Amino acid sequence: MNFSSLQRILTTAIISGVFAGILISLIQFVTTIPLITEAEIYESQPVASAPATDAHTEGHSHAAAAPAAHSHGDEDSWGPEDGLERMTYTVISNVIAGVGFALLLGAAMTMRGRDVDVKSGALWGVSGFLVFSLLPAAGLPPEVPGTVGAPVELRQMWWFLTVACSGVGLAMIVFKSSWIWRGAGVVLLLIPHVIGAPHPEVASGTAPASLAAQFAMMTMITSAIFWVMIGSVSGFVLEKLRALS
Amino acid sequence: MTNPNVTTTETSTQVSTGKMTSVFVSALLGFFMIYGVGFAQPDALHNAAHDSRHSLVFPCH
Repeated sequence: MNFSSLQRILTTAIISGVFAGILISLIQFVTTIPLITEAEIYESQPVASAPATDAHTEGHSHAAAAPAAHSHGDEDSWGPEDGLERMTYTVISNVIAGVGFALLLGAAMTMRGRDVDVKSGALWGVSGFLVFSLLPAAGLPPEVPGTVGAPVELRQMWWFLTVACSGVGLAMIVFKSSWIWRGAGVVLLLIPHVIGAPHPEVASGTAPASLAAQFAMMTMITSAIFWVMIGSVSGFVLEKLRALS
Repeated sequence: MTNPNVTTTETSTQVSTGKMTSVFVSALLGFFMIYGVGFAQPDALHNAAHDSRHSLVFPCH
């Protein structure tokens, strides 16, 4: 049986993304999500700090009705009910994110053109974690609900810039043998951090610092697991597909 | 199994064109999926993907 490269990428991405998406959801249910729920309790309590209230509610549809409250499940816009419905949407979102990340990883593996197995797939996964999770988090740390950040559009733009620079930069460092290319890769990797991530003038948030710190650590650990699963399962599927053809 | 050493120039060009198209198509598809889950602004999408966005460290709110 012969697979076209597109069929190979799609098959690999669907299997690894669905697998990793479901498994990471189960892990998140006992790690990051209880912390999100706890932070939302602090977030929904009225806060005295004016900057926190103003900046957080920017872009939320019910700013006047509930200054410090969060926008899911309110009367203005649809949101899943807490419990099984919310959990189901989290699983669906994680599966879509998993397949999306696996497609990008599959595209990168195909461009590289070397055979990938479970072990090298795991390394590809580690690279994905560096590019999509760790390096962006160096500028924009993981945020529990209630954290005051710069306008979301600015943060999203910086996130995209960082992912693009980190991806290309890391590829130059790992795949090029010339030190000039590698040096240029390091420079590219650093550019977004030299520009600097957008931050609010006064950093504040409703959740206690210890909760925010624990959340930041948990998201990094679970993201690393997510990416290594995506990479190694992709490698496993690619090996099987090679054996079939 | 075909021997990769006996491919003609024509077929290898087709293969590499096909490969780049696959890379482009799958990267674009992946981008849209990530965008939908992590970045799209409509409230309903934000609320549905909320816990994923926070857990996967997408800039949220």
